[in-house]
Amino acid sequence: MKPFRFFQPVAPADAGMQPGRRHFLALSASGAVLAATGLGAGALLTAAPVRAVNTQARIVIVGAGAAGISLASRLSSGLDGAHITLIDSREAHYYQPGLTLVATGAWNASRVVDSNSRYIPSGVTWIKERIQEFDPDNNRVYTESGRGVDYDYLLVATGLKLDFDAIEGMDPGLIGSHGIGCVYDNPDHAARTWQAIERFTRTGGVGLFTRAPGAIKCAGAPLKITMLTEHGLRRAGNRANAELHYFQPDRSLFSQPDMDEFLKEHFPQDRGIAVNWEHRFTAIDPGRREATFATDDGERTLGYDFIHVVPPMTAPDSVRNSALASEEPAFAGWLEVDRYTMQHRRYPNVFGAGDVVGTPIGKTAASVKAQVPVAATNLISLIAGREMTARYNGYTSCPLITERGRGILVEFDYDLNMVPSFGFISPYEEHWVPWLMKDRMLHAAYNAMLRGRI
Amino acid sequence: MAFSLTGILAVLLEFLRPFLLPLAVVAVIELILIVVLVLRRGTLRVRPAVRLAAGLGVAAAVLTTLLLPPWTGAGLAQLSGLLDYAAVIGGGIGLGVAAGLALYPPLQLFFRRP
Repeated sequence: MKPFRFFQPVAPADAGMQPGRRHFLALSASGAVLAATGLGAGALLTAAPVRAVNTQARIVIVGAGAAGISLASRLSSGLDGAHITLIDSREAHYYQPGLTLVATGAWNASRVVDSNSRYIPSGVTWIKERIQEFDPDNNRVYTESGRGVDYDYLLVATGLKLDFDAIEGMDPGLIGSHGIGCVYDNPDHAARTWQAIERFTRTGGVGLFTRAPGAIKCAGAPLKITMLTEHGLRRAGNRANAELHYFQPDRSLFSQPDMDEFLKEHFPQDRGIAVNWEHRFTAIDPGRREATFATDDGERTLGYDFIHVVPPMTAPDSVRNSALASEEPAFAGWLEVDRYTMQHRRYPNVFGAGDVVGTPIGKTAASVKAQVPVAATNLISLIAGREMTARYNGYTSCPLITERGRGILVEFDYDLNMVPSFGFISPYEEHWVPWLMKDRMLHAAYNAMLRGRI
Repeated sequence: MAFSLTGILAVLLEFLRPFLLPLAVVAVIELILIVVLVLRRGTLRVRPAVRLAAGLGVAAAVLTTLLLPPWTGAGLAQLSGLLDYAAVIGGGIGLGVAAGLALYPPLQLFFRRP
């Protein structure tokens, strides 16, 4: 366990330079070069020469989210002559990593709304329908209108489903009213959550922050919403009038152990947030503003002024009820893939990426960035009759925003080892730079990923 | 996760994408000005123009350094450690150099021998 260094007193600039002047100068020079060369980036970005594989294969990609569009971009450039079909009814594209910033008032909702048509490569056929059924034994999928689409290769990138029905009394229409917030799913939910949080930071009272059991997308989001709300209360000068509780269904706040250890101290000691272990959120009574939790000692009902609801998440019904779903207890219902190759374990012409896959970790946009090149490269190898050599190491990343203006860039893999992309950004220290990345750079990186460039 | 130089440039391109058209216009104007300056090179008083451009570049660097954190919704008090100061100062130097270089051609036109 490396020591964490948070809330360091801000040293004078010259004092900070003493121990590592050389390192500092190198960092400054890097920043200057990056900023100065930025204007010429476009000219240098001619596409790298790629030898596309010739094929007449029919490839169907289900889902036009981050993973689906990135796959379409990569396969379009990596294959010559393939018939690529993308199936999804959604025309709008949401930059979901920005929803925490919308839900805490740092961004307007319009900043996370984009259009799928801007990113889908030309030459890809887009069927604007929802998927109804997978029939992998006959290499066919059916859309909601009953249309059958045959394929030689299938890529499943449907994303996941938020199961609000699993919480008695909860309905997504309640978000923004009755003190209820939920950062997940779309900009409307996030914007309405900000309305509720903004009210709460003015009035104070009891704030409850839940976390669903099982795999959820962006598992850091419930923690970020909690810390940013706490910071909002401080900014409003109202922290003393609020009591904050975080409810964890198990006994771990974060899957990466160093970060888990840090948060277990940080929440109660530095932020005054009480952590309630082994509390599973089961029901809500919006009228009475009461939330009920299942615990080992029975049900526990608490009143609230604000509650952040995190619903359980599952694979979409079309995947869950199909032969593609895993039956392994740990990943039951999720798309069954080999965690390293992203290839389906029983249907070799099927691959998956994104939130829908049954891997131990990896329901973030950063995981998509790591999974998509693996799935696309291995599919191209399979088509070309070559050995599949690309491997996904479980990479995931969470810019854990601790307050507006600061965060920690946490990156780790299947072994839960920290794997920082940039050696000069410590995953053990709170800095402004991860916030800068989250606020200004990661959206650009995400768009580059959609275009298949990173 | 490793990032290639091409990958970093791809991200920069996406970052600048909303501004590409105005940047292209500025680049064309700069190019025209440079051609004009080359054609009139015998009449130029270079030193005062360079001094002024450098001075404005330094001013832009200082201003950028001070305004970078607020531009992200953060305060200067939230900078912490070598990394943050290096990033802010590096960004300031980079944009200061870019501003100085961009300002030199139009400024030079004002410093000619009669």
